[in-house]
Parts: sequence; C-alpha cells; structure tokens
Amino acid sequence: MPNLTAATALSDSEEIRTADPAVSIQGLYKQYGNGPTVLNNINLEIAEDDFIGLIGPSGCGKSTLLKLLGGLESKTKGDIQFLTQQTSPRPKMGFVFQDANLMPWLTVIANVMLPLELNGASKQEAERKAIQLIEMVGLGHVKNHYPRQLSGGMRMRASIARALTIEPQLLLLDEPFGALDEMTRDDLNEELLKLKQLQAWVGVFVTHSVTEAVFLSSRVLVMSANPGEIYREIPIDLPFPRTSETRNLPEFQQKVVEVSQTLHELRNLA
Amino acid sequence: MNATVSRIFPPAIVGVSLIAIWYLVIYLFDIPIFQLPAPHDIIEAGSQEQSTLISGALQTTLACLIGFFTSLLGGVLISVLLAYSSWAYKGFYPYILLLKMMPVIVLAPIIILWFGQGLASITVITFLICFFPIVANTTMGLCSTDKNLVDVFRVYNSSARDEMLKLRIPYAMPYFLTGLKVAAALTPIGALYGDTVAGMGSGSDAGLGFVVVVFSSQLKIPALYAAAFTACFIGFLFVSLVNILHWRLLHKWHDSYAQSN
Repeated sequence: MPNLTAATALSDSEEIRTADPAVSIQGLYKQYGNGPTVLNNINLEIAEDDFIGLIGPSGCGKSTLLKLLGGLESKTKGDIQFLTQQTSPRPKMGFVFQDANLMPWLTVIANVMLPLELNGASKQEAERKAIQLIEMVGLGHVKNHYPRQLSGGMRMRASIARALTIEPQLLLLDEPFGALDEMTRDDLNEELLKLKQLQAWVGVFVTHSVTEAVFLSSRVLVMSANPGEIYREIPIDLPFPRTSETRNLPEFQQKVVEVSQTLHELRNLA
Repeated sequence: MNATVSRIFPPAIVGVSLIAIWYLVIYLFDIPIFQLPAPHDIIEAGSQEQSTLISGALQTTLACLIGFFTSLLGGVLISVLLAYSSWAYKGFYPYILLLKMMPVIVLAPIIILWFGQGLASITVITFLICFFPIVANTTMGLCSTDKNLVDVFRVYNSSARDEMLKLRIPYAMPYFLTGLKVAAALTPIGALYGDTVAGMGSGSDAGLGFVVVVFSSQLKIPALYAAAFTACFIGFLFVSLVNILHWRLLHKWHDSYAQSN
C-alpha cells in the first residue's frame, strides 16, 4: 500500500494547519485509453482555507487533475473525497475556464445567472445574486452588454462572477488569466483574493506564471510530467490579505526564486 | 443622410445604366421583340396580363408558404431528433442524404402519382427542395456545439433538456438561419417547377409556373418576361423574410453583425 504511506506523509506535514481538510485525494491515477499515464499516484489533502496553485511543464496533468476535481473527466483509479458537505456527493463547485467561455447569445447578467438557473433557482433569486457579483467584479455598467462587446479582461471578470454566483465551496480555475496582459492579470489576481475573503471557498488553480502562483497560493504544488506527479510542495507563508505591495516584499521574491528553481531542477531532470 | 445616399446611389446608377444598355442593344442591333422585349414592352404586357399574373403569383406564393413552413417545421424536428440521439443520427442520416441525392425531377412523376395534379404535389415538391438545406445546416449546428461551452453546462450539472434548450439550440441558431436562407431562395424554384409538372390550368388555380408554360406556348414573350420578374419578386419576399429573421435573432450577439455595432 504505497499510496497510504504517501498520504500519511502529506497529512503529517499538514499538522501545523488548523483547518479541516476539505478535499482528500488518494492514489489518484489517470490514463486515457491505453495511452501514457497522465496522472500517477496523486495524494493530496486540501484544507478549508487553502488556495492551491498547480504549476509544472506542459503535459504534467495539472489541467487533468483540475478536470477530475470538477467532474469533467473520470478517474482511472484512486479516490477523491469531498469532506465539506454531508448530503450530496459533490460540493457546490465553480469552474473558471482557460477562456471565458461565455455564451455569446446571453448578456453579461444572463451569463452570470446561468449556473443558478441550471440548478433550479428562481429567476428573481438568480438575478439578485448575479447583480451582486457583477457589481463586485466591477461590471455593473456593462451588465446588459453581450460578450463580444467586452474586452478580454472584462470577459474574464464575467466568467469569475459566473463561477461565484452559486456560492461555491470549491473554486477551480484552469489558467484563468493566461490570455491576458500582465497588468490586467495582476489586477484580477488581487481582486480574486479579495473575493476569496468575502466568500470563503477552497481554491485550486492551474497556472503557467510563477509570480501568479506565489501571489495567490497558500501552497504551490510543482508537478512533473511523464507521468504527472506532484514533485514538490512549496508552502507560501506570506500573510493574507496580500496586495500589490506584497509583490515587492523580499519574502515574495524569495518564493518566486524557489518555485522557479524547482521548475529548472525539473527541466534538468528530464 | 450621407450613409443613406452612399447606400442607394451605387445600385441606382448601375440599374439605370443597365436599362440604358438594354435599350441601346435593342436599338443598335435591331433586336425583334420576341427575342428581347424592351422594358416598356414588358411593363405593358405585364399590365395586360395583370389578373393572370397576380392570381398566378398568389397561387405560387401559397405553395411556397406551405412548402417552406412544413419543411421548416419538419427539418427542425428531424434535426433535433438526429442531434439528440447518435443512434438516430447514424441510422437515419444516410437515408436523408439518399433522399437528397435523388433528383426531384425524377421524383416528380412519382409524387404526382401519389398526390395527384395540383397544390398537394406542388407543395410536396417545394418541401423536398427546401427540406435538405434546413436539416443539413441545423443538424450540423446542433452537433458542433463548442466543447468548452458544453463543459460549462456539465460543471453546473445541467440536465440534458437544459443543455438542448439553453446551449445547443441557441448555438445552432446561426447554422439554422443559414440553412433557412438557402431554403428561402430555393422555395420559389420548387414551387415553379412543381407548377410546370403538376400545375393545373383552370383559371385562378394556375400557379406562376403554369402561367409561364402557357405564355411560352402562346409566344407571349414580353408577358413571359413579366412572369419572370414576378417570380423574382416572390423569391425576393422570401429571402427578405429570412434576412429580417436573421437580423432579429442574431444582430445583438453574433459576429456576423459585429461591424454594425
């Protein structure tokens, strides 16, 4: 039972944490058909206040891991347990995709209302919550616009609002800001952390940007490819709330160097 | 104001020039009226045959309307069915294609055998001509839904019904409307052709296609031209109808109208 020992090792290192685990992943394994192993023996405990950043070379299975968590892919072996809720097998989940993936025929507000409507909420309730979130992400002035009338950054904001309307317990983000310029990306990073303070969700996100990973995460998981494994966990113990000034702290820079070096290490191993 | 002028001016210039060339050609080459009547001959013949042309046009429009709307309903229904079940798609699509391959010209005698001379056969022929572009385009639209958007619906536990109504159908709308545009342009062709093979010549029952046959056998050449323009007008009505629908449904969000906003 090598899985079990790995899992215990991880949870031992969690002892400093006070929060309960929200998600527990044990011996997770994923393979497409008879192809190569995409994910190999992933063991991970995610705590209730965690914001986990997944980073690694392409092909390391980080997006697949996220999709498995979101129920968009099915696992080959292993177990994912959600411990935040008692009743339903899946917690309320928000998913922010790589592209904004807004319905082009719906206005911003109708897009943000969509997850609630799909889950049977009344139109009034959906609208009330949607307006709240649209204001929160600063799109109040364009709530009746169509996606094609918005800039890339605004679309991403709408997409984040959509993921948050259902008041998720778990928020999954798949390279959400990859297509944006750096300024917009930094702004949205800060806003995302503010939103996390307002709505306590557990976050897991995939990114290619080291600074983004360090800025947002409570823990950065560096993954290695072929097969996809968790290579190293780097806790980011910078205090929250983090602001744009956080990026200037020497501790922040140190962590960025640490994550970058780990990625270099991986490249040299390959 | 300037925009309106710049929109109307070029086609007006071209139209006037074409008519001028028309007269010029007739004058220069001394072309007899039975080969190429002048515009005023056509207008004169049109007003002489006014009642025949109008009743023919009404009859043809009726056949067009029935054929077009039944093919619209039938086409959408079949497409949704094909998109809902991959079994149905695999099972039926080859035969729909086969039906499409079979030229209507060959089918016409069989249709007349089944439905008799008259409106019924004409609308069936119109239906067959319009049906395929609607089914092909709508099915394509319903089956090519952006995988990323499907993922959004899956993440939020959408029911299959919601996925069809709120995702696949709106996504397929531009495809459907493209099919409808093609169908609208084909509708008068179907009805006119139906008329020539299955039309009946008794008074107000005669469609425009039948009127054309009669005029040409009587060598009423300017009247034939007038009939052609009348048919043109019916086609124009149908295409405009679909264009208006296209604009109403898509102009707010679809990229094909991006310039106008």
